[in-house]
Amino acid sequence: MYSIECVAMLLAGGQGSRLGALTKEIAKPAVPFGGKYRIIDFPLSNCSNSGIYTVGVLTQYRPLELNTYIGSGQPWDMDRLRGGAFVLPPYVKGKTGEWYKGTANAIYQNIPFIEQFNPEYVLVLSGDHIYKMDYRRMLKAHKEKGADATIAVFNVPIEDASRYGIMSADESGRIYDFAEKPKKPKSTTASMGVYIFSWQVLKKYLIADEENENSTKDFGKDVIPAMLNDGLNMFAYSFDGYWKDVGTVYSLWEANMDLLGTVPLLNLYDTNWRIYSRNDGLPGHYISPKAKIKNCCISEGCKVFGTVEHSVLFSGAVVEEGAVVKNSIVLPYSVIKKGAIIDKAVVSNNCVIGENAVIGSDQPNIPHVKNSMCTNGITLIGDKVNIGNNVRVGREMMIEHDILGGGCDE
Amino acid sequence: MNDTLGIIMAGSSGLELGEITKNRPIGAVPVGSRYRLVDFILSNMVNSGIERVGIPTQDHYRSLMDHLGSGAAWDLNRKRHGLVVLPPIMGTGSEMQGDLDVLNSILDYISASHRRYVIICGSDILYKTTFDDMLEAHKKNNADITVMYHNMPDCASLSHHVGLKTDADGRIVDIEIDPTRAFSSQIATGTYIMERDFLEYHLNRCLSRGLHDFAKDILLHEKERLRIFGYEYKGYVGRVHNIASYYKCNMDILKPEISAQLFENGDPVYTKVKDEVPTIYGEKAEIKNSMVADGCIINGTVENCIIFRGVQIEEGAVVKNSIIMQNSLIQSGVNLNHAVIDKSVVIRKNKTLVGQENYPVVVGKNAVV
Repeated sequence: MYSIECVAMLLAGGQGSRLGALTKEIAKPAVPFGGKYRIIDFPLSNCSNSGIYTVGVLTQYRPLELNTYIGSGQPWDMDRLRGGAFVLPPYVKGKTGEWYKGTANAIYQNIPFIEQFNPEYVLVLSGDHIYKMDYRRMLKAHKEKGADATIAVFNVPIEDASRYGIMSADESGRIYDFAEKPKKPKSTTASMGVYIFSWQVLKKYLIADEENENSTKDFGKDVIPAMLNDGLNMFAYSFDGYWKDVGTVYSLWEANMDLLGTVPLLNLYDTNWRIYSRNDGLPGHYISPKAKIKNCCISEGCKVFGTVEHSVLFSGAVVEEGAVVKNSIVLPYSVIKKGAIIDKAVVSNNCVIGENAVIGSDQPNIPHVKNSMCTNGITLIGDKVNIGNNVRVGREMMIEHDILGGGCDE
Repeated sequence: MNDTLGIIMAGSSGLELGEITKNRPIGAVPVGSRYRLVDFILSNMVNSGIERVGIPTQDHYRSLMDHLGSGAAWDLNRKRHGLVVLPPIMGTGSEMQGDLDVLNSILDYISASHRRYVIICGSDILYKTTFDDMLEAHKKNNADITVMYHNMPDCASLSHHVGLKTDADGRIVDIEIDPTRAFSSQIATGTYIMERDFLEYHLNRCLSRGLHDFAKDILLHEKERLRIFGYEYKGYVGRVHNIASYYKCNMDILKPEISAQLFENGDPVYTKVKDEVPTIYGEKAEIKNSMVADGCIINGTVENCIIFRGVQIEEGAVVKNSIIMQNSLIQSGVNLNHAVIDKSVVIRKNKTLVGQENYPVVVGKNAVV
């Protein structure tokens, strides 16, 4: 029987609620990142570059844009005769159709999908992280150790450890303890949400987990602890490259800023490990005679007539004359009108920021209501929002609707 | 325009553009920061709804085949129809004396297309349109051939061109080929529409009489007998026939009104996707009036330039009025003015290269200066 050695299952159904207005209409993996990418381009490109061309993308929350974006999988070289990229939303089975109840349940519901390829191993990924990783090496380690499960881990600072799933492993890498978001972390090795399982073992545990009524149907909370309890061969695989969870507005902003600098923290200039994305067919960006540009990242189709400093401009963004963008990210096709100032902000897709408006102002002229999702001084403007001329938006606000009036100074 | 076959004459390599066309046909010449000349005509066809495009090639066609690949970037990787690059048939010993020989060499491809109309385009030209209106005009005029032209008041400088004179109805009454002094400002763009049967008949007629040139032996000689009509294209036309016009065409793209015509009228210009990272500018970057593709790292001074994908310009380098093609490296302290730098060139520290606007200095592919 024909088989594919390793099938990847990419969990892309999460809402990413801590990203606020950025995920109002799209799932978190579809959020734009790094000038021309979306978050999901990273795990998909990692798969493609690792020679894994059979990928099931599990969608649930707002899947439309993600469906269109993935399409035939051609941008990631996944338009294959056998295998390829598959978008897998929940579906009706007889009279009992249901949503994905958790990460483990999502894979459980797609057991028939995986069985079609008769794989030996299944790679489970999440669509929430920015990193470049060769899954082949991890698979090699999995085989060499004769593991049932291998979990990729990453060293985090001890003060952040309680935000992650924390693994404890002995010298050989064998995992003996796992705690999801522990109050008192026992180590600093955090799970990256990248798992390789031997398929027959995983299948058995998924079925058992489904039958367990007390289970929350989650990998980190239920399946991994159950495997540990039974004393399976579980190994940590440590990864020491760049890895970032972009789950909050601040971490998304910060990861974008990591692209800046002539030797950026997040270096994507590796021709052997390109990050692929669906391309809009835009011309090179244009910098006008009056523009001033320092330390920034600019994509195709942008037009800059004003000043851009320490910022990332996404495809098709326009900065008009006299406008200043600093310490900010401006997502695709947004327009910053004449004289506007964007300071430490995230401006989403297709926004229009009016003339002489200020985003991230210390003297706002609209009611200043801070939003708990906007931390560390970041201001967030949601998709397709129009900000009127002369409106000054205070720091740490999240704007989801047009603000056209109210911008007049008393 | 589903019922139309597109044919793009990719041209042969030669020395029209010096080193730039030494090893590539004119259609594969890089232009406008991330394109090749052929991208514009091919996108025009795709945006017109043409689904079947053949590109006959003559020599040094590898760069063109590499660029076009399966045609997927133009949405032309189809099961039926799609894009086909047609290399010359080796070993037949027949010399290609003119464009009719090239067309005749792909006669079986043309016949098998079963399209009613054929549109033939050259690739030494850059304009952005769809061909629907031209085909409508062709049908309305009940024309045998419709010739696209544009008005070019300053055509005295053109070396190779076909000049036309039309009557009040738009019918072509006089034609001159490569005159030393232009007799008309109506200059053909090398874009022709006709019926496929008509083309097949005339290919056979001309070649059996030892005639080889479409413009001379069909347009000029048959202008009284055939209904040949002009169709004026009113937008921007860039012509590339020597290094000065190549340079001018690139600099034209920097003008906002021309760039808007080419890139902002709704239909994209498709090209091969390279998945480069967005361009990074450093602390020391000074950049003015330039178009820059993705994948560059720029930390020097750049003014009035077209910069292609993957170019690096180091701190302290000053690059003005120049075209820098893919993956070239300009090291610190370099001074470039009016230069055309081909792909993968390295200009070492503190070197100076200065050309003139009508005679830019050209550095060939892979050179190290």
